[in-house]
Amino acid sequence: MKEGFRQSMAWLHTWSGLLVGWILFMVFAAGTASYFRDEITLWMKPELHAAAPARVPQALAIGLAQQTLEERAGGSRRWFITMPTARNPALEASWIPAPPKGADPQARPKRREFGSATLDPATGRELGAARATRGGDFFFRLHFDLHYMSGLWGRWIVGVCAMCMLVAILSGVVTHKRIFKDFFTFRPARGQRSWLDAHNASAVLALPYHLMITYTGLVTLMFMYLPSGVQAIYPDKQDAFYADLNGGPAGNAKPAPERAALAPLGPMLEQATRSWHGAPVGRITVTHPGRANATVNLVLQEGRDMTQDLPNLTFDGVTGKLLSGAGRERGGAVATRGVMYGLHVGRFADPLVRALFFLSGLAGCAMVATGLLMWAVKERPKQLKIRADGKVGFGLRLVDGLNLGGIAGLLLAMPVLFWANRLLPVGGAGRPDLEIACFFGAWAIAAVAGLAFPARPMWRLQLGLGGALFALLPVLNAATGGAGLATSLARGQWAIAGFDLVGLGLGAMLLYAALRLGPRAAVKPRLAGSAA
Amino acid sequence: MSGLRDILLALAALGAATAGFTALSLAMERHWERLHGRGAPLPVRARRGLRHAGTVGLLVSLASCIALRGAAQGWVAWAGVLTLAGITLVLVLGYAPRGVARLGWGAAALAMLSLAGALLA
Amino acid sequence: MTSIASKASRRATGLRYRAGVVSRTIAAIGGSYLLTTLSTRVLALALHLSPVDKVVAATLSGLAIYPCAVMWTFAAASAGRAWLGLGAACGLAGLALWALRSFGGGA
Repeated sequence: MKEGFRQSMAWLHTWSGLLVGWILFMVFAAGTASYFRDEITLWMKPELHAAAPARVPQALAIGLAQQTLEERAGGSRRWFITMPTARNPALEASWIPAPPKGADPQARPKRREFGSATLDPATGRELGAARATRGGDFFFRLHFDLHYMSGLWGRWIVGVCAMCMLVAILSGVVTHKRIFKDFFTFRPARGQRSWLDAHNASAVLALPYHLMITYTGLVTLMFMYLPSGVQAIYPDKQDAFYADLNGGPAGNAKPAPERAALAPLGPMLEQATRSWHGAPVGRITVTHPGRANATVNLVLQEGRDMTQDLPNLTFDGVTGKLLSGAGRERGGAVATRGVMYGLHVGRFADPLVRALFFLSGLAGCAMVATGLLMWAVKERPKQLKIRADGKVGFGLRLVDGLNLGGIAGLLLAMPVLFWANRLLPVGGAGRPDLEIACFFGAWAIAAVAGLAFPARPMWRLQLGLGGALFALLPVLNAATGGAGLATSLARGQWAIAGFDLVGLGLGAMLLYAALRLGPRAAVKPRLAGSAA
Repeated sequence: MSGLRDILLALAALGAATAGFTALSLAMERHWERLHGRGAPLPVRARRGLRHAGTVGLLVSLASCIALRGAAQGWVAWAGVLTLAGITLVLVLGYAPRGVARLGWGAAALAMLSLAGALLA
Repeated sequence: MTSIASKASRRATGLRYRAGVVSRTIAAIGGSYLLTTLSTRVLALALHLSPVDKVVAATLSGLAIYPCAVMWTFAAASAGRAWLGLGAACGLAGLALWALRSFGGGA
């Protein structure tokens, strides 16, 4: 029975991985990129590269933000202010305008209605018209909302794939007989063996991470995937549940009819920082500014604790008095969820841990890719043995094509996004969507080409192109108005320099892979089983 | 300067983990043979010594991570450090197995120097 | 119904094998989800914690129950046994739910 168990788990591992592998590769790739979403956004706005990261006192910055918002967004329902950080030196302000007359004030505002401005924290003025771009947020949203479909569909699809991933990980561990003996084993240039070793290594050496990221990923949307718990305890009272969970007021209070000037935000910020022993404020939300029932909520800046539930304080918007928030008690389960959410999003991570997460994410991409490729490599000799005509069946050919388009094609599309960001004309409506269309367009072309010619030369072409586009990013950066490597390193702008260097590194890896697939490699086939 | 101390602790964690993994890998016949040639015997005492050294290395790495980032985040950092160390070792074992001993000693030296530096800083 | 483990020798009887796989897959995906939903509800009602903690703890557990149920379904000796096992588990959960509702006194 033991053998039967291992075998059935092996079967389950193969299929739960293969059927959703291409989507998973994209989720891992986009998710790994998201660790540096702020840095990516900054790189994609070269107009902001010149702003030296000056340390502006938070009280000054928030006063300037308040001024700007009162001028531009006086009657809004809500203001959001994000304080500058090392990763994003600008002061971000956004607002939800008041609903038009006759509209339902309780209706949730659509994303398009949000107004926003990126401000210089030293002057409060809007920063030199940085080009419109989604930046790193595109990859962040892509990895759970997908694109060109409603977020709900995207989240369900990704959720199903994530659960398949979890099943694949667990069944993979169960089925791997000699997991400790094989721990450091990697035998290159041995065909099927090498693929298996690479798959095992990338999976096992980062196993805690893979388990964590998959499970916590499901946790972030778990009330959508498994609503029965909420329904059992809060039947028809979902809003109340979320209020209890997040500790804010239930629902959206209506604005009071009387107007009242908003108290200066500076003193509230200073009081919050004092109560947190000097720790800086991260985000400020002002609800119903300019009304008698205005409230101001200040949240601690991320990067301190692992949890997603950050300490926050709420003030009365008119009088400036502290209303609530000092030391809220959190139950064990809610705190656990907060930590898990925080682990997944990784905003707490300092540069070292973030880099390690990034490395582990890359290992995850390698794990998925080697798994997909290994299946094709193992399947090919089996099919060639049965068929006399030297061709392979439809299923394998489809997998070959999807592997090419899904892996090499995606790795080609990602730098295309960055090239589009720099080469598309600035200004003009719909620019962010145009950049994204270039990404998907390139991917589509690569995928079609891959499905049409799923062979080694196409792999070489796509990997080579992708590698070149990645590796030339530092050149592109300097040539199109960004801070080139020499400048960014000299100024200590690690966000920009890091992007260039990682691009260079990834490009080098892809080019190396393309070279290794060259004609010389074809001379080395060993047994019938090694098609790598 | 806490920045310098942080860097040294991180290097110590990385070096100790790499050295520890190297020792643990050499305690296995298949990797010992990569270094010393096929059929080279792995003496029992060597195996035990390597296993102990390996464990010590990993624990030193864990301690450095906790010193660096505190109790909760320290474990998370350690997992990441182990991944980096593991991948490094696997690549060396795969592509340059003769260099494995040098990797182990070099990593151990890095760890000890960095630890000393961090304790003094 | 054939077991997954003996698929190598059953390649010849393709249809029977495939029917077994389809049957198991439905059980794994749908049946496990039903079991998970029920178990989450049971846990939410049974745990003695604050309401929001009950929900969170139960849902976190549910996320772990589902993959285990899926794995168990494919490990079962035959598709028929998989269905039986899942059915029994769901029945137990349903029973517990009924008991909690009737005698538990609510959230």
